[in-house]
Formats: sequence, C-alpha cells, structure tokens
Amino acid sequence: MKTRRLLALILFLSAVSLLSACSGRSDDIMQDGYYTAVMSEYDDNGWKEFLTIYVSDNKIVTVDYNARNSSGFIKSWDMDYMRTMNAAVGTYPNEYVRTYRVSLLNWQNPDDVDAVTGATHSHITFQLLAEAAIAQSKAGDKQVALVENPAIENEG
Amino acid sequence: MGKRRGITVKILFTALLSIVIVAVSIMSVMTYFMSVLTNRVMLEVLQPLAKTAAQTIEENMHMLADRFFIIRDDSTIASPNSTTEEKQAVLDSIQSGIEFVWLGLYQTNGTLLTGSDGCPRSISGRTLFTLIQATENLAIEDTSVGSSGLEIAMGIPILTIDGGATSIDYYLVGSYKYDVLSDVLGNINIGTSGMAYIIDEAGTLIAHNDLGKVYSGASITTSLGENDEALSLISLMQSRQTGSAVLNGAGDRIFVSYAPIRGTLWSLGIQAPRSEFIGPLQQAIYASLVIMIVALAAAALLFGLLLRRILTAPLHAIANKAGMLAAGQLENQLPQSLADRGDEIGQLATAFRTMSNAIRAVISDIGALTLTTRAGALGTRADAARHQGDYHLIIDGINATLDIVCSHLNAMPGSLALFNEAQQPIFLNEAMGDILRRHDAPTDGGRLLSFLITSGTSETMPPEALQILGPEGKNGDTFDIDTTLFDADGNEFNYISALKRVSSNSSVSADEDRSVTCFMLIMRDVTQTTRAKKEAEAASHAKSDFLSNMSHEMRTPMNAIIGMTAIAKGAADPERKDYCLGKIEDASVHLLGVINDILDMSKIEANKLELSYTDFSFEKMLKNVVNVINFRVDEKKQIFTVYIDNRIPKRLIGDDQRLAQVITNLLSNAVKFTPDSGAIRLEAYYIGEEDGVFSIQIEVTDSGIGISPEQQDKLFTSFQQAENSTSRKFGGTGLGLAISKRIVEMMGGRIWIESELGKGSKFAFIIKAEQGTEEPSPLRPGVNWSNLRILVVDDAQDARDYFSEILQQLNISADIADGGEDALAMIAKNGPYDIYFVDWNMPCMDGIELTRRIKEAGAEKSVVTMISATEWALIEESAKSAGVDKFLAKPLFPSSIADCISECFSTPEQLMPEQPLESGGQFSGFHILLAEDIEINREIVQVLLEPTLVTIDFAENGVEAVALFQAAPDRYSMIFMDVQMPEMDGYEATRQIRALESPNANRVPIVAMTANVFREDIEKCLAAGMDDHVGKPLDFEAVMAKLYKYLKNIE
Repeated sequence: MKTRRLLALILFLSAVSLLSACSGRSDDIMQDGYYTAVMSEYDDNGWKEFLTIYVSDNKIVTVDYNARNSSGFIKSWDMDYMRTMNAAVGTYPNEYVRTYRVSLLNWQNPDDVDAVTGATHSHITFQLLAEAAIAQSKAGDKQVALVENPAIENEG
Repeated sequence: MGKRRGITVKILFTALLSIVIVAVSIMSVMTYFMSVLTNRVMLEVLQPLAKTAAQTIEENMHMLADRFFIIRDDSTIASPNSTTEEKQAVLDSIQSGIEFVWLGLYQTNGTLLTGSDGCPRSISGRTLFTLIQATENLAIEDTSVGSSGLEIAMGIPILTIDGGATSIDYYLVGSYKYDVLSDVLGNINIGTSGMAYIIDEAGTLIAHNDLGKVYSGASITTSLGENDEALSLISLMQSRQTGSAVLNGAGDRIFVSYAPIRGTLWSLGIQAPRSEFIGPLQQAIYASLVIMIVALAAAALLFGLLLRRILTAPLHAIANKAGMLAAGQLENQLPQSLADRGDEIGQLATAFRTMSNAIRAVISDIGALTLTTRAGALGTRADAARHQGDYHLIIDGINATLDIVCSHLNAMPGSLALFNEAQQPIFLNEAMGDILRRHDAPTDGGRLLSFLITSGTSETMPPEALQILGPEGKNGDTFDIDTTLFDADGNEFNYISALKRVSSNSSVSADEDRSVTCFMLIMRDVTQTTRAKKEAEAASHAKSDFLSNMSHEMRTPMNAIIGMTAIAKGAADPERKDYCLGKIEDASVHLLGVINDILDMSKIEANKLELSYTDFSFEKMLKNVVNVINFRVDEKKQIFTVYIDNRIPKRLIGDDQRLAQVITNLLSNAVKFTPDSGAIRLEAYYIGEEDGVFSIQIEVTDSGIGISPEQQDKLFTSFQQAENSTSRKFGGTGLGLAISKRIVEMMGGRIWIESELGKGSKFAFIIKAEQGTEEPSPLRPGVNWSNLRILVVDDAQDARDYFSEILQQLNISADIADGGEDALAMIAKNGPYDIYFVDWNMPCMDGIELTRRIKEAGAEKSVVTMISATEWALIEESAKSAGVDKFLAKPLFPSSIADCISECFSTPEQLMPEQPLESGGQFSGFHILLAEDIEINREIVQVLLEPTLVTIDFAENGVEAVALFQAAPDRYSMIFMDVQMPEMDGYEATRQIRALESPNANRVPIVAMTANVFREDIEKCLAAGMDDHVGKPLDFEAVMAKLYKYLKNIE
C-alpha cells in the first residue's frame, strides 16, 4: 500500500511539473521564425515604422527596424532626411537603427535598449514594436502586429 | 490435420516477420524523421535564400534609387533657372552607360519636359504618377511592359525650396530593365521545378521565372493555390511579413519562403515542390530497406539451415524415438553419437537414453514379474534397488502388491498350492505350508500333488483328477475331494480340497482352452468342524447319558427312600426300623445334593447364577467347610490337613457360600476318590494384591486314583465325568466341577487340575477378592501373652511347622518337640510349661502317655491340650484319665488354637461350654405359629418339635396366618412362615402382619421356612419383613437353633 501511494504521489507531482513546464513554455518561450510589428498609422511625416525579428531557439537572432512611406520607400534610403536629421540632432536613422538593433540583440529585451539622443521617438516606437514582435513570437503568431502610434513629438 | 511446421520454419517465419516489422518500422520512423527533418532543413535553406534574394533586389533597387537622388541633387536639374537643354544634357550624361531604358523629366501635369528616347510623352495615366505626387521621395512602380519588354519605372519629384517652402517643379521619371529582377530570380537555385517570383501588394506577380505569368498579370494564387492555407500565406506576404511554410499544392506539397523587398511594396517568394527534395532521399531509404531485408533474409535462411542442423534435426530424432517409446517400441534407441554431443542437445539425448533405458529396465522387470505371476510363481520379486525414483517406487509397489497378494493368500483360511504343468509346486501359501509340515508331506515336488489328493496314500489319483491334470483337461475344470491326513502323533485332520485347472489363454474360449498356466489346489481345514460335529454328537450323547445318569441318581435314592420306608413300615424290630430310617436319611441327603446340583446347573445354563457379596471370615468359612466334610474323612480314616497362608486377609468381601460350595465340592470329590487312609490336603495361598484386590489360590490335593489327561479335558464340562463308569462307581451328577468352574470364573479366577493316574490329583483355583473389615486379635485382650510358655509336641514335621507359624502369627513364642522323649527332655531342662499341645497319635510315646508323664512330673497347673484327627469321643475316657484338660480337633485352624489359649486363662464363667441342645421340654409355655400349606410338612414340624413342648398353631395359607395373629397378637412368640402358599403367600402375609397395629406385630420373629434356598430368595424374605430363614428339607438342628436364637432371648 505504501509503495502504491508513493508511486501515485510521484506520478501526480510529475504530471503537475510537466503541465507547469508546458504552460511556461507557451507563455515565455519565443517560437522560431520571423515576427513583424508595424505602426498602425503613418506619422506626420508620412512614415510608418516597422520591426522584424528572427527568433531561433528562443533567441532574437536578427532585427530589422525601419520606416517606410506609403509608396514603400524606406527611411534609410532617404539621404536628404538623414543629412538633415544628422545636422539637427547628431544622429540619423541608419545610425540609431543600428544602435537599437544591436542593443536588442545583446539584451534580448526591449526595456534594456537605451535611447539614442535625438532618436527618442524612434526609441519609443522601437521598444513598442519590439515588444509587439516578441509577443507575437511568444504566441507563435506569424501575423503582422499593428502597434498604436504613441502620442509624442517627432524627433526632428 | 495439416502437416506440422517444424521449429526451424517457425523460427524462420518469426525471424522474417520480425525483420519485416523492424524494417517497416525503421522505414516508417526514418521516413517520418526524414520528412520532418527535410521540411525543417528545406525551410531553413529556402528562408535565407528568399531573404537574401529580397535583400539583393533591395540593394539593387536602392542603388537604382540612389541614382535618382543623385540626379535630383544635380543643380542643373534642381535649378528652376536652368534650361531644358541643360537639363537634358545632364540626363543624357547620366543615362549614358547606365541601364536606364528611358529617363525623362516631366512636368507636374505629367507631360514630358525633356528626356531620352523612349520616354513616354506623358505619365499622367500611370500609377507611378499617382505615387510620385503623394511623396517627396522616390516612388517605384510595378513592372510594366514597355517598348523593350518588361520594365521597372521609378520617379522622384524635383523640389524647389524657397524660403522654407517646398514646391515641386518637375518629376524625374525613369525606367530600368526587368533584368534587375530577373537576374536575381534567375540566380536562385531552387531545382528544376522550383520558382521564384515577386508580387505586389495586390498579390499580382510582377516578376517570375515564368515571364508569361508576369506579362499576363497573373495572381500569386496561380502558383500557391487558393486554399485557406495558401491565402493565409499570401496575406502574410502582402503584409510584408517574412517567413516560410509548407503548403499542400496541387498533387504535391510545396516549400514556400518569402520576404519583403524593403523600399518597395513588393514581396519576394520562392517555392519548390517537396518531392523534388524528398524523392532521392526516399529512394535511398527504400534501397537501404530492400538491401537490409535481403541481407536479413539471407541471414535468416542461413540461420535456419544452421538451426535445422544443430537443433531441429536432433530434436526431430528425439521426438521420433520418444514416439516409438510411447508406442511401446522399447528397443529403438537414440544414436550414441547424438548423446556424445557436448551441448544441451547432447545432454537431452543422454537424458533421453537414460530415461529410455530406465523405462526399458522397468518394463522388462514388470514383464518378467507378470509372466512369472501369471504362471503362478507368486514368490518371485524384481530387484527394486536397480531402479531409482518413481521407477523404484513402481517396482517396489509391485513387489509390495505381490507381497500383499501373498499375504492375503497366506491369510486366507484355506490352504493354497499352485503347480505348474509338470505338477511341480510353484507357490504354497503359509496355511498349505503348515499342512505339509503337519503331515510330513514329501519334499519331492513331483509327488506332492498326488500326496495331497490321495490323502497321503500311494493309490492312483482318481480319474477326475487325472482328467484335469491330463491333456484333455479344460480351463476351469474343477474336482472336489474330501481329504483325510494324519500327523506324526496319529491325529486325524480333515480337509475339503478343490483341484482346478487354470489357463490364461484369452484367444480361445474356455471350453476349447487346453493350455495350462497352472493347477490350483485349495484345501480347507474342516478338522475343527468335523471335531465339533463329533463333539456335538458326543455332547448330545453326553446329555443323553447325563439324563440317564440323573434319572439313575434321582431314582436310586428315591428307590432307597421308598424301599426303606416300606421295609420300616413292615419291620417290628426297632433296630431294623432305625437302620431303615438311617438309609432313608442318607438317600434323602444324597437326593438333596443331586437336586441342588441340578438347580445350580440350570441357573448356570440360564445365565442366572449371581454372586452375593458379604464381608466374611475366610478362616471361619474354611472351618465350616471342614466341619461339613470332616465326618466323611473320619469315615474313611483319611489324613486331612489344612494350611492357611497367614498373608491372606482374615476377612474378605465375597460370596462365602459359593466359595464354600466350590471347596466343599472339591473336598467331597477328594474324599470320594481317595481310598481309605489316604491323604487329603486343603491349602490356601496368598498370590498377590493389586489395587486392593487379593488373589488367593486354594488347592485340594489328594492321593486318590488320579485322572488321565483325556479325562481331565472333560472334567469341567457340563454333563461330563471322567468316564461314565465313574458315576456308576462313585455316584454323583458330574455337575459339581462345571458349577465350580463357573463360580470361580465369576470370582475373577480360574480352576485347573494337575493329576496323574494312580498318583492322586490336585485341584486348584484362584479367586480375587477385596479385603473385608479388620478383625480383632483372636486372643483375649488384657493378658500379657508374651510371658506364656507353650510346648508343642507332634511327630509330623509339617504339623509342627504349621503350629509354629500360627503361634508366630499370634505373637506367642513356643518350644517345639518332635516326640514324647524330646518333650520330656525339654520339660526337664526348661521346667514345666503353661500349655502343652500334644498330638495324640505319635510313635514310641503317644499323646496319652506323654500327658500322663507330664502330669506325673508335677505340672498340675499346666493345661494339656490333646490334638487329634480322631473323634474325641473315642479317646476321651483314656485321655481324661491321663490328665488331658482340653481337646483340639485336627485339622488345625489359627482361631481354634487362639481360642484354646484364651480359654486357658479365662474365668470359669468364660469357660462355660456352649448351651447344648436340650433333648426336651425346653420351650414349654411358648406359642408359635406355623404357616404351611402342605400337611405333611406341618406334621413333620409338629413331630420334630414335639419334644420341646412348644405349642404350635397351624395356618394353611397366609390369610389364615394373618387372621390367627391378628386375633391374638401377643399369643405368639415366633412364626415359621412358608413362602409359597395358596391365597396369600408368605411375603404378603409377613407384610400384613408387620402392618398390624399391635406392638408384637413388629416384634415377633418371623422365620421363613421354604425350599427357596438361594441367597436372593433369603434376601427377598428379609425384604418382606422376615427376620430369618431355614431351608427345606428341614434340618432339625437348624430349626432348633432358630428356636434357641429367638425364644431364649424372650425367656
């Protein structure tokens, strides 16, 4: 009788542990694949920022962060804008995008990504989009996540 | 039943089945994992391929777009002040050597300002114009069909900044060759069936390996299908997502990877049929599987062949031998070569050979036993020690069974002998062995059968026996013979024999079976039956003789009584009358004895004889017996001695009357069969004691005629005497010893005889009895008997020893002298003694002479007691004249000696002799009542008691007796009551008298006077209220004793 009870207890604890592990995996673990988040609206300058992460083994492997206009043109191609912005705030999209991307790859957590001076608005949207993409990856949802535009001033 | 499959086939079948199952399982698992792995690998390969292609296109487009920005930045182009020609010159310089299909500068209304050849005159109707108006940056149009084929058009507004205000002056629009896209798509290695394409936001193919689809403006659904899975994937592509998937295509699954092309509204896709990648892999798997199956099958076949050689064939051989063994073919042995193998098969073969050898040996032994047993040689046994385990038990069991059979045959009451065909004995049971030993049968087996059949004579066997033994005999033929044989002592033994022919040939009927298994001779000993029959006939004859004898015994005294009565009546001479009356008395006593014996015997025969136990004095009982027998001893002048072992308790609990009856019977016989002057000795010995029960042996030895052994065997049988002539010579019923035997057996003992013809006999018996109440010392208390000086004088050694033992028993010392001279010498030496016990009959100096000499020697105060077996009256006168003071009759009893010694020191009153029976008038004045229905009996009593002057009233039955007593209760001092009377018997009359209210009714002595003399009859009388009993025929002295007993007290 004692052996049976002990065996039943072990089985029960094993089942509980397994269920906990399964549930934890579904909530916390990022599924492999590409996940994209996009701002729901174009900003006042006609840009809509988007972020794509590639997850492998619960780790963000690549980060693509940029903005495009309605015709698909992306901000990193806009040399005039970059020159203007660099002259105004000391940074330009290709530079802060690189910084944010590297930071996210290093920290794997949007909250740990520090803002680049002159690109605080993009920092906010970067974090929002990264969080949304990570959420999609944890949900295993390949659909593009739409992120509400934050009510903040533009960077320059 | 189908043919059984061998173990090899089974093992091979199982192996092959296992191989197939394993192979299929491996293939399934491999296929599954290969499929999963392939999917994953392919997707992981295609995904970066698509991503890289998209990035390549993006870079190409970026490079192309950068040219537009360079042109726009050109001052000439940007300046509103430059001329059209100047602007055209710039465009030409840029276009030169570059892959522009065309490049032009368009006004804001979409019309061409200036440009290269091939520039459309207006772009207002193109999608690009709409896009270009909505942005300040570059806009890219989907592929379109131009003059040189597929083109990619781009445009960028030329801005003018004036004081912070931006305005658009022109649009720079150009077209690149489709090669920008096709080069990238064409370089993607996606197999022969794979394809790469680019779609716009609407899902329309703007680039594809198959240009036809681009020209036709086909939808992506033409490649991916329109199922939900495809539509969902297309949606992801349209939303500029990156990813991969496996879709169910038309007839095959499709790998799809897609990635957006940044800077455009396009998305690049790569797809390839799954079969193109999986096919070779599956082929490799299938080939491996086939090779593996073939290899395994070959291995199984080889394994089967080896298995058959190593295992199956030997097992098959063992199985065949086992089957033959089971079928009883014991001689087929497994080859030794198989047993010589060192492996398990060798061990199995060795064990099988051992087993078959053991079975063969057991079967062989059982068969041999069966054959010998069937032939009748039941004494044959197999050697069980040769076998082990259960085989040992089986053989042992068969041996035991044969033992039991022989035991049963030995235990059977009949005697059995089995003979073989040559008439040689092959089995004799023990009973037969006993017969052969008893009759000293010939040891020569060939003559034994003839000896037994012909009753030991040398005569030829009867024809019936010869028929059975001969060739014409048949199975079951039987011949019964009465056989009489004699033992070495000549004793006859009778047998009923049966000779039977036995055969066990079951193939022919019994009537036709002339074969012989054995001859069976069964002899049944009927000697006892024959003897019993003869004895029964003899007993019947004895009873007839007994009846005849009884008739003689009863008629003889009756004849004497009647005859002597007649003579007495006619005789005038008183002496003759007395003579006749004496003879009548003798005959009556003899007749009474005969009647008593017959009554006792009838009780024994009816099993009604019972013992009545009382506490009695053993010595007194013997003394009474001796008193009864003594006068007969005197008559024949026989020497009669008595010895009582002093270890026998003084009082015993038992039936003293029946014990006295036995001793009296033995003594009577001894007196009867011992000649005059012969010797008779009565001895009582203590044998032992166990749990308070004493065993006492009583012997009566005589020097009579003796009895032969044959006669001794019949002595204790009813209705038998040593021989009939004995009864004729000595008289007697012949019942006394039979009665005595029964009484002794009822007393827990036995009786036997030791006798030799002419040398006398000794009858002895043992009884068992408990000790009675303690009896006080026979010597009077208050006297110091140790100072008493006694001299015993007797010439007989045994008499002196017995006397000495008695005195020692009484704790009195005495001197013993063996004759007169010796006694006088002892007196001279020791002085006079207080008491002398002097034997009367001694040689040299008899007792009278010795007494005279003692008295003359001055022993006046001494008491001389004469001891003699001679009647005192004969020597009284001479003895008293010589000075003898007292007389002690032989045989001596301890109590008699003790009484004699006590009397010597008693007062004169104590020495008063017993009241002699007075001769007349002593009961004058007494009235007694006699109840008696028989007149003669009343007259006898009246005549007998007439001299006593007692007055007798007569009642003829109980009613009259009660009436007489009730009329005058105080008149009667005593009542004699007969028991069997008409109207009212003595019991009832007694009860009614006792029930009367008169004081004398309970006091008056009532004495039963009846012929019912058994103890139970007496007890019945006492129970009815009577005081005493006197038997019939009346003994005058007994009647007088009762009168003295009851009337003297009243006096």
